[in-house]
Amino acid sequence: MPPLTDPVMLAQFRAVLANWNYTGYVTAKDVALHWIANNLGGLSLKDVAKEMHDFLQRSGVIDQVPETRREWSVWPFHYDFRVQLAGRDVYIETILQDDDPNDPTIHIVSIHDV
Amino acid sequence: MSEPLASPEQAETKTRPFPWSCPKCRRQEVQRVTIPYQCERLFNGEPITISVPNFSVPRCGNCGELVLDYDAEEQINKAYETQTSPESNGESWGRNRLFAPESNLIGRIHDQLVHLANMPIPAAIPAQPISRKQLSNLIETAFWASLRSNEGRSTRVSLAVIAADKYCNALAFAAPISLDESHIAKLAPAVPPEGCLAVSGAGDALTIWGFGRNRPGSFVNTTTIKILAPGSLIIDVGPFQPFLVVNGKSNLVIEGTHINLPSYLQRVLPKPLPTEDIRATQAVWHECLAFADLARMVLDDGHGGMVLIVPTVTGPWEESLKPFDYRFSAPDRTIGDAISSRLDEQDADGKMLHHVWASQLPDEAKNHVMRLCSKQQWAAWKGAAGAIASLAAVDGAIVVTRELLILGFGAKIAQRNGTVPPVCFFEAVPGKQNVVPSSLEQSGGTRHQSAVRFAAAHKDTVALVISQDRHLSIVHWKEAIHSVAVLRHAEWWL
Repeated sequence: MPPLTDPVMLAQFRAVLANWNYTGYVTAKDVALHWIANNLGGLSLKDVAKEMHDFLQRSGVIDQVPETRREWSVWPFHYDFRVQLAGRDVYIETILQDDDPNDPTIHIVSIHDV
Repeated sequence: MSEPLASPEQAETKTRPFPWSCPKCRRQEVQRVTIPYQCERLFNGEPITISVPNFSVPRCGNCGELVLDYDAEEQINKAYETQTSPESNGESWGRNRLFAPESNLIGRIHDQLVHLANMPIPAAIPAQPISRKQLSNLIETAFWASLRSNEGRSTRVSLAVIAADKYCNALAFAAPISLDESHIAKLAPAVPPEGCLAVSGAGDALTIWGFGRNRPGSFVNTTTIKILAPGSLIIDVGPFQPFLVVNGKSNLVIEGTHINLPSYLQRVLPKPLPTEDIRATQAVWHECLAFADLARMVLDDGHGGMVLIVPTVTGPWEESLKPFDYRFSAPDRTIGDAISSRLDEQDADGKMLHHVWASQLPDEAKNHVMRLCSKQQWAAWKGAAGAIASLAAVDGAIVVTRELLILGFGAKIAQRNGTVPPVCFFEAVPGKQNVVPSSLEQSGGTRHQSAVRFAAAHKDTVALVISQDRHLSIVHWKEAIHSVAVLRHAEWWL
């Protein structure tokens, strides 16, 4: 997987995740939300967002993957995080909604064990 | 459980203004709407349905995609807490609840009861209707009662949900007793092994209204729970006996297999059913029932033991039983004779009834005679089996032929150095199971290992091995896998 190196995109991720504490910046598909509730020992979406934020702060690498699935093909790429949550290695698949470059958001479309 | 990473102090209320862009169709049409919403969450490992009637959630006006944010998650979490809190359930076990009304396990049993109630079977007796919540309370209470003991003995008793007018010969208490684990544990020693505590109730509450000296038959569409051992329950639903087994952490659904111990033994002994002679067929079947009864009685005694079923009175198997301390001078035929004489009586009853029916007696008198004859009296057979079962308390095996001739007891299986027999284990559950060659040591203690060696050496024998903790294994040679097969937990089929 190619790592995301585009400084503009990285800056956008940083900008969104800087707002991890506020609702509406990191959102999730319902299946992702339920997986978090059922598998991460009491962690919430906000906890996951904070970990993604911390991951970037620690210079973690985001993978940029061209989107091939029809249902998500309105977005050219999805961006994958591999983080540790509740003692598990977790894979988080996201899209960066950057239609408004001044107000980008992240939507978690899938989350599961690595 | 891990500590949440975000602390409560961090919970701020700043929100992004709507409309948002939709992650699915990319249209700027996501607005917060209020809709009814349901989702599945796990509670104590079981999926339960969480309902949020007024779910305020961002949704795309174009494609309908839900975009779940922190607020939406909080609403689901609150609904989850409300639905699973002890206060909402009104019971003390609260979050420790194992059998929630919404769980799949309770749903399976409840659906089966509803299905049986709707089946037009004239002979079936409808039982008291029972709600999912009542069912959940009943199984939960029975489970916790199984972990209690009374004067050092663990709880062993059956409970049946049945109305007083549907349960003949039951003793009713002057005042019903609330259904809780302490009452079940206290009353258990008073209930005969063949009997059960009778449970009924109104609303969500269930009470113990009495106990019976026998269990409601399989023609009663009710739920019966047998507390077998700590953490181990067998749940019967109407004719499905067993329907489900709760064994520690696993809940095994066995419904609809119609497998029971007599039919399994009939197959492995083997005792073919003569197709052209109904009396001989009945005799074979009753012999299989007697073997199962014998195993049940040894199990109930709690000493453990082994019953070796050999093909003939003498044979090569004798070489492996040394010493055989208490061999009878002549085989004991009590059980076989009891079966035989009962079948003779049945024949005579049949002929007599034929004459009675053709006679000029009033119908009332005919019906009375019919009722008297239809009561099966197997007391002699049970009594004989009980006497034989007590022999298992002596160290060594009871040796019996396929025709139920008791040859003796206290037989020790000679240990021989040689090749280790191939062995595979199976569970008393339906469906195909993988054949996994295992080691002899995995079969259990000395008793199990000896039985495996014996079955490997004498492929026409079957061993019923009963452990002190009331587990029954059936050990026999299985030619199809060229190995000794050990069927574990056969007590579920009793």
